[in-house]
Amino acid sequence: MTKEKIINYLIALTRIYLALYFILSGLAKINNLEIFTYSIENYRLFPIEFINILAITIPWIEVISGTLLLLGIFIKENALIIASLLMVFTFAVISAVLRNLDIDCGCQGTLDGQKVGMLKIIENISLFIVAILSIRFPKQVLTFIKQF
Amino acid sequence: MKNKINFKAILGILISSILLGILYNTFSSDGIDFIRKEIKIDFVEIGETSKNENLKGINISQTLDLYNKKSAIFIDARDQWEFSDAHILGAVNIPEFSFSKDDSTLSDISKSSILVIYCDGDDCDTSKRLAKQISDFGYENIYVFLGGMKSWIEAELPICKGKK
Repeated sequence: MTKEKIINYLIALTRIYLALYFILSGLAKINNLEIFTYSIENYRLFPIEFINILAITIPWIEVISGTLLLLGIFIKENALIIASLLMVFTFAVISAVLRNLDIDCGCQGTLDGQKVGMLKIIENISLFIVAILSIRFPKQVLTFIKQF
Repeated sequence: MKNKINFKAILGILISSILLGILYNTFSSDGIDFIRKEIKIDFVEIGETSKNENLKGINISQTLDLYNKKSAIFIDARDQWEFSDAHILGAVNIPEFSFSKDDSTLSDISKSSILVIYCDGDDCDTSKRLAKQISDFGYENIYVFLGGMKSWIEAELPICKGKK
């Protein structure tokens, strides 16, 4: 196996990890929708009228983009959607840290999971780098369906 | 050509996801309101009943009055971490997000007690939601302290750190 092939496989593996992460966290939020609305509310970034509609739609974007990314359909496009979501999430976490809000990140649809903080910011930036890799090198490796 | 991003596909994925979310929420038994309704509060005097069965709200001076008379039980509706960071001295913690009808802290409180429920401040809804839930268990003397922890700390009133 050539060096290039190995790199392509490694990038594909990180893509699959990113996809599974988003599918699972999206499903967890859909399963705990009410709790997820409280997580969004805890950030105090959005007017109360918008909180529920964000909670209803964001997890589905995560699940659909994650699934398409996993299957290898529109890799660049779905990676871009996920990178954009990660930017928004990271901004929210940074703003919560700067405002000294001691809250759960709400990343898995719970209110007693991982707290906002440096660890969460580093984790989000790492996932963001993985998404950028998939946008930059959208190779047809380890895909379940040939991209059309 | 292959490296060009297909923005039409992105739009399609986003619209499909949003529609799926809306459809699922419409037909799911766990669906929520599309627009969150604000829980209404009436500012009242202590002992006065509220109009339209709205929750009863009190300001910091009324809260302090009840606190000094030791005539009310203070309930912190925030999560255990926020409670540990700082809470009103003597308050008990009933996190709204994990509240259930079997809550052991609430079951120790008499139904005739005066309850003062608070969260962070004016812009949090946790205390209102908890007050609404507790009122369903037959507690009638429930007041929501709207200024919450923020105004209590600003007024340099007694606070406590830790789990108790």
